Amino acid sequence: MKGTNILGLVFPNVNDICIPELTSTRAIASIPFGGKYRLIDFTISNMVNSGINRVGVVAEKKFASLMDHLGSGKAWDLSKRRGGLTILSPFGQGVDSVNTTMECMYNACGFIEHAPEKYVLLCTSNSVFNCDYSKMVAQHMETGADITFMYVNGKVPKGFSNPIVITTDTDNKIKDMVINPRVDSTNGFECDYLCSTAFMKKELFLDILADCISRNALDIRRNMFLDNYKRFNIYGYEFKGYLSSVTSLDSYFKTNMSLMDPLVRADLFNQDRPIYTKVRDDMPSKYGLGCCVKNSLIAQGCVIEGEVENSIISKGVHIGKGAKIENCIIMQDTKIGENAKLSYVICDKDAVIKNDRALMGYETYPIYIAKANIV
Amino acid sequence: MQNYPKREVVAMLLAGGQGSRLGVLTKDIAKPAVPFGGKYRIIDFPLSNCVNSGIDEVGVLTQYQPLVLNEYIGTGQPWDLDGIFGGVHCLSPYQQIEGATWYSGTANAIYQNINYIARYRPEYVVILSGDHIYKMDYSKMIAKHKENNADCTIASIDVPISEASRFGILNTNEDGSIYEFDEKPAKPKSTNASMGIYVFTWSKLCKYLIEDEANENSSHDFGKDVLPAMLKAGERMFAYRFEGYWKDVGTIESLWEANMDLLDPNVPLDLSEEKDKIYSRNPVMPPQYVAQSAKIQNSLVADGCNIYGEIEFSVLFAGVTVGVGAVVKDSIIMPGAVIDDNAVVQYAIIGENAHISSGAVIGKRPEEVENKNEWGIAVVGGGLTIGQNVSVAAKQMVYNDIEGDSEQ
Repeated sequence: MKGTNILGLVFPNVNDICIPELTSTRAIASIPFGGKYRLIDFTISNMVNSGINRVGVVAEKKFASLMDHLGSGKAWDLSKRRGGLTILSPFGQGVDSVNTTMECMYNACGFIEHAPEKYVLLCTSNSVFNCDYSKMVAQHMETGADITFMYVNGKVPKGFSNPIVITTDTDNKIKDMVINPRVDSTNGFECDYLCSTAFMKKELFLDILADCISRNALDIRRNMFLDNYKRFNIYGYEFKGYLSSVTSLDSYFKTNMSLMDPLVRADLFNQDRPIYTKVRDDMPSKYGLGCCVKNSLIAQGCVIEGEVENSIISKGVHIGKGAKIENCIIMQDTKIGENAKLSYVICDKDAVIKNDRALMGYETYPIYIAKANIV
Repeated sequence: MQNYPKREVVAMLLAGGQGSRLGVLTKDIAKPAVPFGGKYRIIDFPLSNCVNSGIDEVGVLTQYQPLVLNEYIGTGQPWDLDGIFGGVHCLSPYQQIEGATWYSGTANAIYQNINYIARYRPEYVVILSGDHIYKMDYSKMIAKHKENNADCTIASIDVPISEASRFGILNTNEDGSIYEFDEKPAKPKSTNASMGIYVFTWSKLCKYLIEDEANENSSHDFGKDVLPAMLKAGERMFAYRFEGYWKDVGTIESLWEANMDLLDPNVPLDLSEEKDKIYSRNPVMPPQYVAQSAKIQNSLVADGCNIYGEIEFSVLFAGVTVGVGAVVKDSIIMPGAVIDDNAVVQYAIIGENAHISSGAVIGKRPEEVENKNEWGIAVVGGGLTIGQNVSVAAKQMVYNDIEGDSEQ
């Protein structure tokens, strides 16, 4: 149902440092994903599909591309009189220097206080998943928790910066919380770790935030969560669907490739809870004579005349005759010349690969071609 | 009366026709709402042309099965026609103090909406129809209309002499002024066919609409009544020659051909150009997935498709599924249709959300049919289910579910 009593707050820059290549000109939230999406589409669509009507995006830096993508919020049905989408810039409240996410949050206090909603849902935006938050909210109400964190069970993905690993009671109350525990085995171990989604009363959030700021304790994970978990009644909510966090170039590649699995697509692109994104009026993709496409995801507006296998081809990409693209992620509007050969390449948007070029990466080390570069 | 900002030009789009020659495809929807080109509906073309020509006030006259059309147009947002003072309005027939009447002809439809047009106090009114595929800058035509100091300008296109007798032919003097209309002439004097696109000086049009309405012998049609009356009275009427791609999609064959034209690189209709884009309501679906077993040649495929079979020379709309071993050739598959494993679809149009079960064969290749008169495009209506191993003949139009072999 629309119109919950929840204010959604999204943190588009948290985890930027995980993928320096893709975040050199943008926030992690606006990294292109899956041929037509940006990572933030999943978080915002989940919020909208859970009935959240008002969303604030707490921007810290490099948010030009994010603003361009989000626009008025229309694509997520968030262009509204009551509620809607607001990008909260770090230059809001006359504070001179904002260096941390905590300070940016504090800067946005005016917006948060002013919002009529009683609860807040805090989310980062580097996870790919389709989730109905209302189940988490229902558990929060049932347990009478002060704060509920979402967690998943599994191995912590490589590159995940400062994961919070928790231990819970049978009723999901969090007994113990540790940050970045040292792990002996190189393969990691299965555990319950938080996926950066928290739910609580707005007043409580503002209290904790003000308290942290006044003590100059500016680390969200350590100061806001870890220092407080014993003071409050804190619960975990296990998310059991498909969730993949993008925490490195490697996991970015794997998460993209997981879309080839029909079960993953069925889970992510659930018809009842669609993933929305900015609309571009591309025409349908055109497959030329003599092209050959196998096991690939192709967005609209492409012209494909060469061979494509195990790849993600984003909107508006041209692939010339005789070109061979294998295990690649080609972002929007990139042009690939005739007879070019690419294997394990992540090609950012607007790049040009000229005729006859050959680029080979490796499964665990894909080559990255930066935005608008010409090879 | 509220003062609407004056608009120099208001466009009126005639979208109320049934399009009976499209048969089952227009059973539940008006012709302008028929899907076209993998993601569009026919009405996207005149609407986008309006916006790309700087016309931001468009009245859409609806009558036959308007539900899908009304919903599709909605607030007009995809075409930037959701302005504060206007944009696009769907105008259905309504009850008036003298009683209620349907739109009895194209001219009557405009007559009944004189109030709508008048509130914008336009200089010119453009009359469009919702059954052609073309890209045209109407502002150039309006400029020509002004230059000629014309009362009415009719867009025309050069057609082959062999086909000229299917059209309304405009016979013109050297300066482009029209001296005669020839409606579907047996012996055409020229190949200058009317495209059904008119620019009128509003004051003149208004006068003639009122006169036409009062004339009991009139059929209230632009081509048959209003334009001849204007010509007879000596008004300044000009032809405006259009050059470019233009296709009437009023029949199954022409609808099929126009879709196939998009696959032909030699046809001058590019929908991907950044300027003069054709806008449409976009489906909220993930990119298309092409499986290991798939084979696609010279085809258009939209978002949300799952392709496991073989596709050749075809246009697939959003959300179509083609199963393993299925073959789709020279066909149009409308949104959401499902082609099960090992089904064959050739020279056919499959309606929205239709389901073709495994082993079914829809349509025939022309070389498989001895009597060429019996060959044509097969059509399966929207939402129908064609059972296992059923054959649908060439040219057949399917209106109801067909049961197939029951599962063993």
